[in-house]
Amino acid sequence: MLLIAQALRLLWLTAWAVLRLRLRLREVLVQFHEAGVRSALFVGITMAFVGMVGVYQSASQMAKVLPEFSALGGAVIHSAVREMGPIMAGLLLATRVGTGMAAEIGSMSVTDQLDAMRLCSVDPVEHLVVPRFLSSMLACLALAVLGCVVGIAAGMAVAYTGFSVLPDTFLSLRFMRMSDVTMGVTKSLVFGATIPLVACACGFEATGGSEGVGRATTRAVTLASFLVIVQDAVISLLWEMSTR
Amino acid sequence: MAALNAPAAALDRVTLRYGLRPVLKGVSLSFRQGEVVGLIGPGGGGKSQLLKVLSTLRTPWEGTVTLFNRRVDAWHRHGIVDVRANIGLQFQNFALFDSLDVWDNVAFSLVAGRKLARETASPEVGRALEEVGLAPFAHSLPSELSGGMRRRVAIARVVAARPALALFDDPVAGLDPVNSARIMALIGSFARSTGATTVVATHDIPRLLPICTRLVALFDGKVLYDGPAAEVDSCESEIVRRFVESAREGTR
Amino acid sequence: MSRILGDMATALGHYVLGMIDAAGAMTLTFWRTLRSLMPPRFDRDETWRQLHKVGVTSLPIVAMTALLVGVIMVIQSAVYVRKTGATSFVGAVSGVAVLSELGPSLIALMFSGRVGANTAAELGTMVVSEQVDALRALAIDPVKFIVVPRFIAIVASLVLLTIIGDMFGLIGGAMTSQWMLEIDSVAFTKALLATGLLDDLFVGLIKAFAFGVVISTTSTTFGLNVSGGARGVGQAVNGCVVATALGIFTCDYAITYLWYLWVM
Repeated sequence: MLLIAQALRLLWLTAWAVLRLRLRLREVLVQFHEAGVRSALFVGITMAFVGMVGVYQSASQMAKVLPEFSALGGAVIHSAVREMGPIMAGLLLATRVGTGMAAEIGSMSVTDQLDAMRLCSVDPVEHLVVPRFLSSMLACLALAVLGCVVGIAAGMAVAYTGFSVLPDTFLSLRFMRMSDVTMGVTKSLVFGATIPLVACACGFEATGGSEGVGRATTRAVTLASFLVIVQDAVISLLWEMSTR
Repeated sequence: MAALNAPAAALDRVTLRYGLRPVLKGVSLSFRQGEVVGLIGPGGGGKSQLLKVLSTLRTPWEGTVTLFNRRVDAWHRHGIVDVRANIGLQFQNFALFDSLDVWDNVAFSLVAGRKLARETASPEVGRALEEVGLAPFAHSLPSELSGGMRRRVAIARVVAARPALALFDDPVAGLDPVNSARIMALIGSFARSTGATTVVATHDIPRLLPICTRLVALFDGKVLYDGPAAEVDSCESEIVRRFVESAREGTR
Repeated sequence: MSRILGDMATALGHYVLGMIDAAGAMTLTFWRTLRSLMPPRFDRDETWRQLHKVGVTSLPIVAMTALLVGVIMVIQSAVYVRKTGATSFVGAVSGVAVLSELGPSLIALMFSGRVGANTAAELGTMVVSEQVDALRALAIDPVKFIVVPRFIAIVASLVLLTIIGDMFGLIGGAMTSQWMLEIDSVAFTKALLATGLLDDLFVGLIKAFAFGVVISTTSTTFGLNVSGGARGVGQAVNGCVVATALGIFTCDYAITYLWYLWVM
């Protein structure tokens, strides 16, 4: 797909700009606020539900095998840090921030603002993409952490009220290894890097008025979400293979 | 640097296409440094496209484009960034940055482009805003302004940057007579004081004639007249004569 | 300090009011949709067209996503399986998780990204270009012509896609457990079938139905309430996918909770 080629090209240009330290730190903070802070409530609420559902599911599974829930907390925490935290942060970020970026840059593209920028000797990649790239990686990591904390807390509440699992028992790190944390962090950073590149690529390609902006936002969220899942599978596989 | 008698900008048999449809057909033009050229013609005739080619935003696959002694067409894109630093274009649809206020919009090429400090850029920006009459609105957002005001901001953005090649696409459309006169006079005095090569595309022919020395008429992608402004009434092409005639009548 | 608290309170208030506003608009849309469904009074040609556009064209991406989800699930369970040697566990866990939980939600998320965003964008563009006003001027009810066909198409497609997706998810899981844990497909399938599959499938489909309603109502509401040109369309799509994601997971929780109350 042409878009992936565009996104890869943006990756190259962005990496180059970052290496030359064209960072626009103030803008990075602004974008972080937009992407991270303003998504926090959304991610928090969603992860609370996911955590609670996860506990119900796992508990009912365990009940079929042996009616004893001491492993419940450990499993939930392990799954949250390794998988659910990063992947949900990634998907939700792709949803909220991916569409936002694609919409913003798309409408700039469609109204010639990108061309105007080029004529003012400002490179749109340096000016627009780099801050979003950096802030998105940080935001994804932060939201993954937030998501894990909220999900585990909500799950713990449900485990206590529904299955009488004491918080002490729940908060067990028996399944956790350092490599799980590393994997979770890596995933969050990778997702956080992919989403702005895809969204901005879609935005740059937008042509044709409001219809073009609509198309760009749709393609951005579809492709970004899909890539999050693909990358999750790939990273999980690679990790597994390397720790065998 | 460019030799004294080399043209600032030159197009040689340029054909620009949108898909397969040609919008500029074999256009050959040359602009000397410091000239003020008026570009006239009906809507859809190719004026905006010509300005986009001159500003390097569209690169034709056929023909050659030379700006400041450098070739910049589809086959030669090296150094395009340097060339662009000397060009300013006022867009027909304004292309203002909607997240920035008027001041930041006008200052953009100085502050964000040439990386000047805001204080250094301030006098230029302030002067440009004064000249278009929008100083009181320096901190408004584009969405809060009328169409005519946004157009003036776009013009101020070009003027503040003081480019060597200044292009104006429909600078006075939709402006009231007072502001129209003011803007055209501003473009004229800007060209004189900076010696920039200036191209103005407009339908307001009566106000155009006093400030430009040369007129180019573009009809359906082809140049039908290219000569002194004063002699356009006696040009060979009847289409052009009738067009100028009705434009004069329309604004009486 | 008090100013920061005040700002936060205002922001929260705005947020909540915005959500209530959106919820109200969606309820209205939903109500009008229902009214046009019983008795059925809607444009049938448009419905078929939407079914194709929404359902058929989403199939590849849903299938791929579901396959990958199946793979991820097995990798995730691999840790426990290795520790406890409970190889039968893998089939059961995968089966339940994919059919009743991850399958429906992640498929719905992908679907909402693709179809929900597209619908909001499409309808938003129609509003901006005044096509919707034109319909009203011709005394055609936009709900019957635009909203209901999409509602039917989205709900029906999502349910069918979830079934197909579930299959792919299970296939992905089987392949992965064969390759990674050397549990052959027969054992996997046996374990799967032994856990009372149908219950989970049923829950999953109820969820898919609910998610479909959420997606369609949200996207049509946001789409039809666009204002502000190209930017407005982008904002509508943004608001739509966020609201849809929230809606999906809220419904997910509600249905899971009710189901387990019922079953246990």
